[in-house]
Amino acid sequence: MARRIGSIVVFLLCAGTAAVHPQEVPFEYQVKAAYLFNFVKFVEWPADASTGPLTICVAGKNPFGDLLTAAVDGEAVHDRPLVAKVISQPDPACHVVFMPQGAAAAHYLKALRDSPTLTVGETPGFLADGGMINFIIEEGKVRFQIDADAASRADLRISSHLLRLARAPGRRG
Amino acid sequence: MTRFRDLSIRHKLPLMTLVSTGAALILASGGFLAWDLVQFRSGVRQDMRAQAAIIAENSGAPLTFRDERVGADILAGLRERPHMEVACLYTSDGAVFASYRRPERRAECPDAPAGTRYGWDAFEVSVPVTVNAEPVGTFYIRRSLRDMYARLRVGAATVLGLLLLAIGAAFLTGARMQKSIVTPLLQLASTARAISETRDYSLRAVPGPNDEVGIVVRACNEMLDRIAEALERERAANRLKDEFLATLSHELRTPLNSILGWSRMLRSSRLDPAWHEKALETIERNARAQALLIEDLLDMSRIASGKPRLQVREADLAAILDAAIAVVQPGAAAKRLRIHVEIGVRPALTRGDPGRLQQVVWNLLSNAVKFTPAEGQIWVRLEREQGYRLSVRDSGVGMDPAFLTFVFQPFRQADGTTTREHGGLGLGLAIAKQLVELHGGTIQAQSDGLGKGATFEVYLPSVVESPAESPGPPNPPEVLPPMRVDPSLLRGLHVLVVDDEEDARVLLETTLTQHGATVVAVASVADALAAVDERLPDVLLSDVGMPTEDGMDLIRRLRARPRSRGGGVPAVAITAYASVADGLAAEAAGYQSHLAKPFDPAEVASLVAFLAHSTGSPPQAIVP
Repeated sequence: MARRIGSIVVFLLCAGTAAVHPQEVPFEYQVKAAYLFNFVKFVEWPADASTGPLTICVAGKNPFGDLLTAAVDGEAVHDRPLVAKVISQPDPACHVVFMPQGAAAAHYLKALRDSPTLTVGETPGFLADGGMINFIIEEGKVRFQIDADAASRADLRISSHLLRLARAPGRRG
Repeated sequence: MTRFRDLSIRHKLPLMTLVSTGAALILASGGFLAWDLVQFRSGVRQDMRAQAAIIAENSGAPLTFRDERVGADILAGLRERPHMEVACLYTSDGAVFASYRRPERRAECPDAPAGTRYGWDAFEVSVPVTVNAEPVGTFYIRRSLRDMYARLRVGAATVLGLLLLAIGAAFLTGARMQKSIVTPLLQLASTARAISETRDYSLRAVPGPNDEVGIVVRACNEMLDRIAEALERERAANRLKDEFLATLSHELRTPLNSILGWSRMLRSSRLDPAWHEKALETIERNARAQALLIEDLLDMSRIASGKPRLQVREADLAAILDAAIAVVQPGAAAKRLRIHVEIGVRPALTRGDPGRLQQVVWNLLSNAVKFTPAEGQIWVRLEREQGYRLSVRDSGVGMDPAFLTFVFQPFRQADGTTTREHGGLGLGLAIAKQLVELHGGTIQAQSDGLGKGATFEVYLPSVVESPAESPGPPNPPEVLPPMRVDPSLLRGLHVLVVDDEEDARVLLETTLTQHGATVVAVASVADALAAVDERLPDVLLSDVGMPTEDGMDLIRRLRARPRSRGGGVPAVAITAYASVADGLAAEAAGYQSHLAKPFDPAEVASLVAFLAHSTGSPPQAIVP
């Protein structure tokens, strides 16, 4: 099962020029969907949040279509099944919350402050607002910035391997 | 190229040291290098596995998020590891994701991740990259083994250097140590060579240390001592023999001088007939003296060959002594010597050969007379102890104590020069000693030194208490009374005489004719056989040594004939070869008897008479 997801992801990543998708999801979001799924593998949640399915939430408007749901369907990380859902209000059951452009990021961030929820955004200043991971585009490729302090304040441990991939969070504001 | 075994020890030893140290060093170093190689490879293997594991661990995230830059950064950490040639990260579908390669090396990433291989040119390790136990790619790394070979080269060079050093050290120390072995051996070899070249057996090798080499050297020196001694003995023996031959020649010539001189005077008509008797007597005496010399020689040769024969019977030493004194008395009187005789037992009966015992006594007495200057004294004493002790003491020239040990050795004379004062062959005492010992006795000589006289003592153990037979009076070696001729002894006998030498033939013929026989005398075997055919002789007398065919041939051919043609004629061999073996050979060939030259004419006549009239077995051999 994991292998199938992996190959989907690889397919998504490699099909950069010839991206033909039934849902007409832009290539950028196909990559981001895969990244969201992969972030889970490099993050440890505190013990009291470590039971039950791992829930990846998309706040507000869903830019992935069915893609994320399909990607996580039947998958498990650290022996925990993955679940994807779209929320319109801050939901404490979410382990990961992605706040796409246009979502009220600041509102969600305030509500989720200090709760063990991995916050992922794609807007400049997301980290300054207290977010943990922020997608950026670098040389046409999707990269990300990480605020490790914010994560540790929320009692999340982000793997050093992932931190290494993070671009310098210079533009905090 | 010289073979090793033929090399000088001087080269052999260093070569052996070299080969053994070299072999040991090469084996040890080879073993060490091999062990080092194995250790090195195992270390490199572990190091590479650890390295690959770390890089694979770190490469999970970049592979997952397709971050080639970070991937390349991770691989670039290998810059600090100069032997890592190539490192590659592959995605899970086998495409190269990131790579690192050492700029100066030509290695490239393989198209697909190769497996793990620990080869001889390089080590290659491939490990899967996983995230959450899910494979996300493969890490491949290749390490060159150039450093291993460089290390081996350095090791080999070090070994080679050490080898050269060891060889040098072995040569230096070996040369010193070898000296103790090689030097004595080389000296021994050069001594041996010098001896075989110069034949100088007085050369000796330097003994050196007490090890085996020293033992060999000492043994060789001892051997040389023995050889030198043996050579010295041989030289002395040769000298003795030369002296003896000179003496012999002199002694044989002296009587010849008288014989020839008087013979010529007899033939000259001017000699006063009154002197004839004197001349003939002198000739006969000298001839007998010569015959005695030859007897002595034969005695010595018999004794030397261990075949002396004694005719043992009862003998009276007192009578023998009387006879001997009577014989030497005229000579002693001529020198005005006084002979004191003290015979303590009479008769002094013993078992022995009277003739031989007289020879001994006469010898001692005549020596005493010979070596005592005029007006000296001689004491003769015979006394009874367990056996008989006879001593002859004189006031003569005596002997050097050093000569006492040699006095009984044959051919030894105190004065070996040709101008010496005293004649004789130097055999008398040697023969006397042998004869006394044959009788079970001993003989001793004593002298207080030159000019102080000498004493000879004979001890004979055998004693006969009561006479069983009367001992025959011994015959002194003196001029015999004129021959008695019985002209009828051989009357009617026909005798054949064979001798190539005319004088001998005529002598035999005359002798036999005088005794009344008819004689045919011929000079060869062929003539003899012809004469036998003409008239069968009653007795045959033949010389043995003749040219062409000798007496042995004659008797063989005669004995091969039937009795009617001479096969059974009694025959006597006459030979100048007077040894027992010659006599036995003659008898084995078919002669009934044999006579030695010079023979007594009367003896010949009686032997012929005996043979002519005997029908039984031939008489005992008559030996001079």
